[in-house]
Amino acid sequence: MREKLLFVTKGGKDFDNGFSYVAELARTLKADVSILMIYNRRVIDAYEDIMTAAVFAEAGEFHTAKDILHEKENELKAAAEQNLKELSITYGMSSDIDYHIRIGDVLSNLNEFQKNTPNINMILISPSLSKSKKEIDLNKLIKKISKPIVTISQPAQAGA
Amino acid sequence: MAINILIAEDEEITVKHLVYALEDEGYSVTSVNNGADAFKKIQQESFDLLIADIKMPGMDGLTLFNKVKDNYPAMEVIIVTGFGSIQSAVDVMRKGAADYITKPFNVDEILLKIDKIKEIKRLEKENMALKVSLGLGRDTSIVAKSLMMKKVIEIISSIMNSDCNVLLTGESGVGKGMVAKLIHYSGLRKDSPFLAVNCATFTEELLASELFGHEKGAFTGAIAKKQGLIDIAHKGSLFLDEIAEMSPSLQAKFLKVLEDREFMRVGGVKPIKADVRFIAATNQNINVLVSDGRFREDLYYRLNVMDIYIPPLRERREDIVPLSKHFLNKQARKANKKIKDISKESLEVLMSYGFPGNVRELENIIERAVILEKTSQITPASLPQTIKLFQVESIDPNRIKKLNEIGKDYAEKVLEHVEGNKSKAAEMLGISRTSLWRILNNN
Repeated sequence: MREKLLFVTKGGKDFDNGFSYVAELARTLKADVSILMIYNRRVIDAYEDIMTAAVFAEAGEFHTAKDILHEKENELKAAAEQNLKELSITYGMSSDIDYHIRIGDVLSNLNEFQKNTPNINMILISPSLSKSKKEIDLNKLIKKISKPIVTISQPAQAGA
Repeated sequence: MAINILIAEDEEITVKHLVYALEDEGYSVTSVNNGADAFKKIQQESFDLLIADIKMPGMDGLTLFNKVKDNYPAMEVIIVTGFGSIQSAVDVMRKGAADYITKPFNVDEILLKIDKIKEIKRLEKENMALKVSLGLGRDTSIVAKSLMMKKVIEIISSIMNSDCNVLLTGESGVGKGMVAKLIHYSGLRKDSPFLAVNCATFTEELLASELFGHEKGAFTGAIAKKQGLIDIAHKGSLFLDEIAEMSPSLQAKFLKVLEDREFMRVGGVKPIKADVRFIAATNQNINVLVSDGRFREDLYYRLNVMDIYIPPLRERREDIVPLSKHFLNKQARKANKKIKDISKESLEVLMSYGFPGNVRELENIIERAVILEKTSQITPASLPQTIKLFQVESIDPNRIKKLNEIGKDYAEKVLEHVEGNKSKAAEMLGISRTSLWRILNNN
């Protein structure tokens, strides 16, 4: 059975940073890759949107309020899906790659994902997440996750 | 090798005589007095040999023989015939009966014929074991320069004359399969088959069928009887990779094999003796799985007679250079290329890399470099660019060490560096010899 590597990355412009390493590692180990892209809720919940939704909710138009709250989320998901598709084509991995988009904090999303996907052999944390102590607390991660965790970082002098 | 024999004979005295003689020789024997009952028995149980009289009430021996050969072609048949029906016996021999015997017969004569069949069955089994193990190879070369791997080799040497079950633990790619082979080929069972199965590759039903085999008709699609790996690995070793992936119900069945040293085929009713050494492996922390109730504690203790932990490559960097050179020789020979060495710069790149995929990753990197390299030594240009661009740090949450353990590991490394000289090691560490002794003896 082929091994499966899980690449965990932060949604946003640098989401693909470190993926070239993961793609190479997957080729070397003859493994498949899953991508888990996690967006911070703050990115989704823009202040004006929340206020607009609140106004509609006060007026009893709950469906419209819900649509407003989910509009940005849906937009982001569509864009992320497009990006991930392009990424898998760039690295010639379209047949082996599967991707998942989540919104919320990294730890709880990753924990839930690995519980529901037991055949993951290794979890690779993207450089954008590895360097951000706010986004990811390795101590907490180690307590919750039982699979080997690999943090990827990029030395300042190295190019992307 | 135990074989199950079915006797179909209507003469009570002959049956009694045969059963007594065969059971006395240690065979498991069942008898019936007509062809129809014999075929019913064959459908219910598994037999290796049928001894059938030609003349029987109802279904005669010839009809029974034809039905058996149509449905159970692997079963051997000895036809018992009266003087007048030798021509019929010759006919069934042509159709594939193992032998025939004329009445009145001598017991020694039939025992000789059974011995011959036993030998054929043994050769068939050996042949099947060879076919199954084909591709596993006998290559058991393990490169061990680091103290940690030398300790692994020491443990393997210490169990050379033992037949105990072994549990191998360690991350993916550290070489658990290779260690399993080394245990087998350096042990008492080295001349018998070494078979391997990855428990994560199969569904529960398929894994059960792979391990125990199945009887014809045991489930949809079981069109013929199949021998399981435990049966084929008789007197040898069976390597169960990713044992933690085995389902709870299969764990219970497998535990019974370890306890009773016998098993039943899927859909079978007769126990079969299992003389197999089990070497299991997992990349998960089995203690956590046991405490979570995902792995049976009793099975864990049965397997864990000897626990061997194979450390990840990042914790035994001294092995990177000799391993790289070993893989270079192997891959250059395979690719028929005259690459003799690895440049200093390339070795520096490899030494500073984290190898999350362990030894397997290193071998694949060298294999690729050998294909790409155009000079007589591996240069950094042939190594994957990404391992130079990114730094990786691996953490195995299952192997988080306490501070005093790290201190002990470090002290051992320093001691290794000064070739076991404790005074020098203590001086380098800035501690007294007594403190060093305490650290090294800290369990």
